Amino acid sequence: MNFRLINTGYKDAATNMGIDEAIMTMNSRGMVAPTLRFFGWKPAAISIGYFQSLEKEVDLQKCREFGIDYVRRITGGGAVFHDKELTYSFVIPEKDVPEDIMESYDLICGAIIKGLRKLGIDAKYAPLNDIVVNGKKVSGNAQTRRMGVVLQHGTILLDVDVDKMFSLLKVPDEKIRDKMIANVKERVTGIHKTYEETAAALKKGFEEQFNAEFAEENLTEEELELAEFIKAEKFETMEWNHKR
Amino acid sequence: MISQIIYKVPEGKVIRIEMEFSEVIKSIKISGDFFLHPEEAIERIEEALAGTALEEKSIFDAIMEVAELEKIKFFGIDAASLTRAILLCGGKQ
Repeated sequence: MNFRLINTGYKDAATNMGIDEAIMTMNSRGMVAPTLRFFGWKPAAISIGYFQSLEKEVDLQKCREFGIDYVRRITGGGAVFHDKELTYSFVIPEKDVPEDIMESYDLICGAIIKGLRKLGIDAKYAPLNDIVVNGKKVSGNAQTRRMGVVLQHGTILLDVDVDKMFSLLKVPDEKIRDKMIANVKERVTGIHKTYEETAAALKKGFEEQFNAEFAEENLTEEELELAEFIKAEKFETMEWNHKR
Repeated sequence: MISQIIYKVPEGKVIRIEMEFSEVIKSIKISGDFFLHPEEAIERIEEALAGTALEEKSIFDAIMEVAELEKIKFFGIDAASLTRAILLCGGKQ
């Protein structure tokens, strides 16, 4: 099987989510190969899971104050503050991964773990959707399946600013905010590598896991156009971002 | 009545329920950090629950009917924990 590797660099939240969905759509139409994409977020952004309530999870006023983007993902899971990280997305036809969702997480997270080990990081898969180092989460992942295609995207934390993250999120009870912050500081950590070296290592990890070369390419004209369309029609709209 | 709760599924994810109800559920919004495939089926569950008696078996059966029809796969929640969250929100547990 042929795979593409595309590094789109730093983009705003709606563009990033538009590109993921555009790649997924074009792969489902058989117009592009299965694709590994690396990206970052500028400005920093919060993404929330498909099922989360935007107003209940995110302090939108604080986001505006600090110039932080926000977007609802097409994948489930929790709120993520995308700041100092390498984000990846991986698009592959459903028929080319295990039908069982847990097994396919294991396969794709396995590629990331192989990559992290190349950096000397002893990473392990923590089902359903985390990768941990010494028991601390360094990566969260989320998957959806649509149009016969699997999209898994996730974050590799390079560094974490838990205080800043919590200043942007709402907590169920203000009295326990400090306790929650302390708890997350105990459980989450960055890998302290650069975007570039992490991307290079992950590429190798995916190549090993899928026993294939990942050819470095750019998004096609059609993908770019579709990504812009999806961004404007979906990820920038109140209707989508505030839908739950 | 209108009520909302947050329920952490043991060994699972967080469910947030916002609900208007009397003896039956009038309307319900289910949110949280769980996974459910296909994602849009959450709306079918909410629709099926509207008009359902606020009682364990009716709620569980309504969720299961949609789950079977839509071939739903749950991660971090399931029909039983969702039922429990709804009953808690309705003051029934």
